[in-house]
Amino acid sequence: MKFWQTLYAIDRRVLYLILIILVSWQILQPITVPNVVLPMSQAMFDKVESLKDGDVILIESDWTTSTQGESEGQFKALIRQLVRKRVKFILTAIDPLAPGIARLRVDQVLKEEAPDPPYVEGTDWAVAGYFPNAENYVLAMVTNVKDTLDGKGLAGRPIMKGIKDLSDMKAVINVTASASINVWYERIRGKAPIGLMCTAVMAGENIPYFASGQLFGMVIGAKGAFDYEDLLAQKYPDEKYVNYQSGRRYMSPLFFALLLLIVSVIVGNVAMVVLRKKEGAAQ
Amino acid sequence: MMQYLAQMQPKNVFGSEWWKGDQGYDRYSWMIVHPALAIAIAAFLTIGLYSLLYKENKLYRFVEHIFVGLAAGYSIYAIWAEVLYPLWWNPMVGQAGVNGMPMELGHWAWAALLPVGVLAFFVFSTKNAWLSRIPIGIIIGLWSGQQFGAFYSRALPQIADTARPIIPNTWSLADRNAPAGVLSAPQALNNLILVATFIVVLSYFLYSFEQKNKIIQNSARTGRWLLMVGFGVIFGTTMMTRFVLFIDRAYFILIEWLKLGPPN
Repeated sequence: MKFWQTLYAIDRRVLYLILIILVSWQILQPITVPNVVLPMSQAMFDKVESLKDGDVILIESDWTTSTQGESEGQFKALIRQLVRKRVKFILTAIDPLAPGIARLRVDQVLKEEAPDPPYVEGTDWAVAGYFPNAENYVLAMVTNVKDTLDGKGLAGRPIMKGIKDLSDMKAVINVTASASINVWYERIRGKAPIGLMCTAVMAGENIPYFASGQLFGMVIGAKGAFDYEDLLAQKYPDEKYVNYQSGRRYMSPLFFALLLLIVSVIVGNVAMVVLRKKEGAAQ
Repeated sequence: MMQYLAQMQPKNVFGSEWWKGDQGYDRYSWMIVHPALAIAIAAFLTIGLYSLLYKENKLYRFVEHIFVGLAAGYSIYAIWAEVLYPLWWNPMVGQAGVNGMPMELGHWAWAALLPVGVLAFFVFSTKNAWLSRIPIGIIIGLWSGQQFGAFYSRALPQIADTARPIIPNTWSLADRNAPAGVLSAPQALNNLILVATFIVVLSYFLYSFEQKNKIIQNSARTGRWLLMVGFGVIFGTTMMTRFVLFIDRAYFILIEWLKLGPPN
């Protein structure tokens, strides 16, 4: 009885300690985790791959350091693909902290990729910065993208050449850790295809939009980042490219952390059933 | 006063000019403290936040307050520098013609927005709190007016997507590259599961009358079970997100700070 009671009510700090040991072990000595690319990640990759040199897309980057583990890998993999395809991109955000963080990651990728000719800010990419109030921001982008971006310092920049309407952009990709994508579903009016890179916790809510065709592609959490890195490695196998980063890096610690969770749930439930049976028999 | 305000002109921290620095140097190469010390401080703050896992303590509170203060301060600055200054202040006061740029006349009608916005601060007054409802009412009115279109764009494609064919026209296995109009048996089964799930889950929410009919009762019960499966999925993906956040911080401490292994 005492054995099952102990299992039923394990001190959470013991579980945290086991988690820390497992994760630390797998960070220092990771195992190779096999990967099967999800169809939604493949769809996102294929769509971006179909873009042509000089096309312009809009990236709304709404993630900050609080979800860096998942969003950073997705974001950097996307930027790598865009740079290799020489697709131009404009960054916006509805989180005041996000533009600075996105800029740092773009600069890191540009340094690692070293595109030739170089990616010039204002010509090949631009940061339009922070927009408050997601509803009004998306509405402004949909109804008058030129004035909206011009008002944020992009007036006269070469990247704005030919951009008069949102439909002049080949895609809108939302890299987000919040519900900001909902506003795009509601207000896009079919002007541009939408792609989503989100945290795993948002997957269940947003997969139906991929199934219905409202999203052209979807990259989910660290697993999605790993998918994207795998696809980059298949498409660009040259050793000069950095393809794998945090997506693959976090897979083996995540595998063991999830294993611990599954075992804990099973042990807790078995202990509960056994205790209930014993209590019933005692009465 | 105007000259003073012009001197106080904020620099756009999201623009390339700030990051390149006034003298053209790379701002990444310039840090207040040595990079190693900066990483050590970040590691200390990370450990401070995770100390909550053991128990509530003063170190956690201290680090939490630093984070909240930094985020709030930065947000206020960003709202002024990124929104109010370029989109409200500049159009209102206009701009003198400098560096070959044409002069822009000010549109002082924008000033009318200030008192409306300031009314929101009456929320702190017990006597005149009702004034704060005016700007809130304007925002709600603008938002409500958009909701018909928003619902149409978001929900109708979802409803339309539940009308799916459930009878296969080929018995081959599902092929991602199959031509349009070909419905394989596994895909038809997927569609059937989706349509059936949609109907039984919807039947669970029929609260307008007592569910006496056996068919409705069984359907609602099945719907409830399927909802539980959905909640299980949400729980699982939530845990995935939380674990990855922890793994990211653990990687930072072990590899980037303590350098216990090579970056991978």
